[in-house]
Amino acid sequence: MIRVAAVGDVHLAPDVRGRIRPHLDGIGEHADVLLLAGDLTQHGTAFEAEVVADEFADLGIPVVAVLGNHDYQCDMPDEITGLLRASGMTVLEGDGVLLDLPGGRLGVAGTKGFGGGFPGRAASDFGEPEMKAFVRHSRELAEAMGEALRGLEADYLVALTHYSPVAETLAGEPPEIYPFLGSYFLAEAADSANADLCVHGHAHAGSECGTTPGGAPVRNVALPVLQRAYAVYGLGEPASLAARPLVT
Amino acid sequence: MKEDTYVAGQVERALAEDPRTHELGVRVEVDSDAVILRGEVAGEERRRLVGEVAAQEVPELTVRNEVTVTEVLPPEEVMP
Repeated sequence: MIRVAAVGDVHLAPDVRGRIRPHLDGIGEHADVLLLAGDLTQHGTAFEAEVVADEFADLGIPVVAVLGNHDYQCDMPDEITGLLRASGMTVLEGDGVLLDLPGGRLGVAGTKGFGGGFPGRAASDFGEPEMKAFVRHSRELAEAMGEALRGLEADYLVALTHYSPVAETLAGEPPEIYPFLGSYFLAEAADSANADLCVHGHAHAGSECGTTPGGAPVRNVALPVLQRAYAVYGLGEPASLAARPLVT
Repeated sequence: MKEDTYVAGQVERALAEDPRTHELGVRVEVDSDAVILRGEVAGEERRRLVGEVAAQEVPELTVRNEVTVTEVLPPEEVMP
């Protein structure tokens, strides 16, 4: 079994430095990998990225992250990505990573993702240029992640995003803002590769558990949803625990 | 005088866009002469700043800051 720890929306900055770190000691005893589902910083500055790098440094297990919308606020996602990578973290955007772990080969592909909504209440690539650009951006990010997932020769596949792939894990948020919280393009991309697990953040008032139309478990790991430093999900044997929260 | 809905929208926008806060998850309700803020933020200083930005945005109203700080609990029992 591969034990996947995950948390998102830590919104770190100097004022909350050290908020998570005490709970990460010994994480290697509970998990084989840690996934970070975006909104790692509050204002998207390089200074805050250094706080993130310190917070998740030297954990003894691989750390794989995607950025979130907050990490784009100061228009320096490349600098933030570079700082996090320099600290040893893997940062994904439309690409994937293959990790050879004791429980098997884990493939993780990721993207920030974007909005647009869910079937029946989704935006279309139609009309004004601004609307077309919005929907195309969302579709292109999702398609890149889908292609990366399909190219990974792994025993288990995880789709890591900031925005949500399904509406189910948004339950608790006002339905009117669902189109700003996720897009079914992300679920479609994950299902195109038969992903075993989807992990996302972004929806602070949402719910932890959902499922894609193709049957993949979806977990909203936003810190305000989990109310704990991270959750751990099991992939593989024992089958009864597959993709169920091990930490509840 | 502005309708309450427009005042709520103005304060919500300020909390999201002001570089001191950038908080998108704070709900704003206007009740006669008071602005009520609800939701969660990551730290005590951010809770204070949310109240400060709202108060500066609508100085003519009283701000009731009911925002709380998200707890970070340790992971609980982990199954083998």
